[in-house]
Amino acid sequence: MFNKVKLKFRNLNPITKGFLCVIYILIFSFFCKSWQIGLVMNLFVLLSCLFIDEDVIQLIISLKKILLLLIIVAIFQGFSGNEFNYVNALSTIFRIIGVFFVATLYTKVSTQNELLYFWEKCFKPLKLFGVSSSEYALTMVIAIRFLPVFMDEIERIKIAQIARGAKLKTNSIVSAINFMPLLIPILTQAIMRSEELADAMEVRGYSTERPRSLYKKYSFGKYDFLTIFFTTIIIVVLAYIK
Amino acid sequence: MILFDRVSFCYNKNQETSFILKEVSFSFKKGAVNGLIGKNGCGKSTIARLIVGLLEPSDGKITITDEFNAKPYYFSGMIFQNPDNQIVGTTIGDDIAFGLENFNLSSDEINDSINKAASLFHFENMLDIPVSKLSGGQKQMLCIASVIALNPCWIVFDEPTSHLDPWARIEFWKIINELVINKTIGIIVISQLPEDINRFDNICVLNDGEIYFNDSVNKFKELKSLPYGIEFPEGWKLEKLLEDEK
Repeated sequence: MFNKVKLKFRNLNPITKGFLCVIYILIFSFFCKSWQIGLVMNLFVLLSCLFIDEDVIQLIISLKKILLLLIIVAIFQGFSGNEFNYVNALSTIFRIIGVFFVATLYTKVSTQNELLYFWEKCFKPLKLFGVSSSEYALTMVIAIRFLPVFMDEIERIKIAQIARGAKLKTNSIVSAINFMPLLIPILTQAIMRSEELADAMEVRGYSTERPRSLYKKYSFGKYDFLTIFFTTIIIVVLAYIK
Repeated sequence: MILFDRVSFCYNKNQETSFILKEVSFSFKKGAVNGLIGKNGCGKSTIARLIVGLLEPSDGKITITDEFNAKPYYFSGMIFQNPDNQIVGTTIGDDIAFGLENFNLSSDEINDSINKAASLFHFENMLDIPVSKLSGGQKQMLCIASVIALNPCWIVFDEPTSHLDPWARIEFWKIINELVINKTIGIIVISQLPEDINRFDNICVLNDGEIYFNDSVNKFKELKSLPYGIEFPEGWKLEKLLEDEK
């Protein structure tokens, strides 16, 4: 039974998912002024992982990716006054963690088609200015799809440079300068890949001038209304506390 | 049938010396594996791009005489060398669907075509699997499935086996042979590998933008010499040596 509920929450309408992601990022940005509210909201996001079948531990571990950023921000926020202000540092950290959790969960529970669907709807008003919404949405989705490919490519080029005597493994600032020669092959590869991808897409009938259809149908269900209702309550409560 | 009638092509029209193809006339027929070989820069990939409409001929005419197979009434597809550079979707299902969505088909029609194409390549239970988890061979198969889902009259393979291991190559040629037997899809394979020449039924040899040879593989075997950069498969060379000894 609970598994069915988890599946329902995971497969919410893409517009609901995207809307919730934006709303919670805004909540963390503007409503979580105190560290207590930040902590409660973060716990709420972690609790919601249980309803969308995501691993809470893995999500917490993924924080190490932004650990350096958190430390730097905490230091800057803490020393903003005459003495170190723990409350200020903590509330800022919780806000950043919250935004990170929400963005991570959104990309984890959304497929490429769902992202495309939501972004296409978001960019639709741009049509008034002659900008193709579907084109921009597809560009963003393809950029996400190619991130792991480019990470592999960078690793491959890095290994090739190390094999030819480049010193890229040291952890000094000088090593950052040593990374400069990697930029040209990475850029060249990126351009070549994008050209071939553009050809492949054109051969498979892609055109910005023709309308496209989506093979997955998305509808609003009771779980969509339930989550929106819950979020509205949270916003009202937070506005009242504020 | 694909007919090339005195087709010329150059990338820079201001320079007469930059002709990649010089008034070439030849044809490809369905029901056989049509091979296109030649050394680097001789115009093989240009011919492929001309067939699928990515390029327009500078002069001459290309005619496809075949009738459409089925919806979405699509003439010719192309499989590029590197599968990583042509997969658009993040999952197998998404990638097969991409081409079909471009033709504005209904959701039911798309799902139908996805299931048919996926079952041909044993992907039917893997539609939600991320593309990043597939092997090189499986990615190449996905590219073929994505094009076959569009029911093309012709498929052009641009050096399709260069990224495959020997076992994946065997699997690839099995699928190509099945397509040839069905006769619904015409096959053109561009390759530089001598071992692939063994698999062709007809061979077209390009040399410096001109047709050097265009006939059956048996007649190709009888050729005394080949243009610089092209070689017979090792097996054929051994056969010839044995015949000479007899």
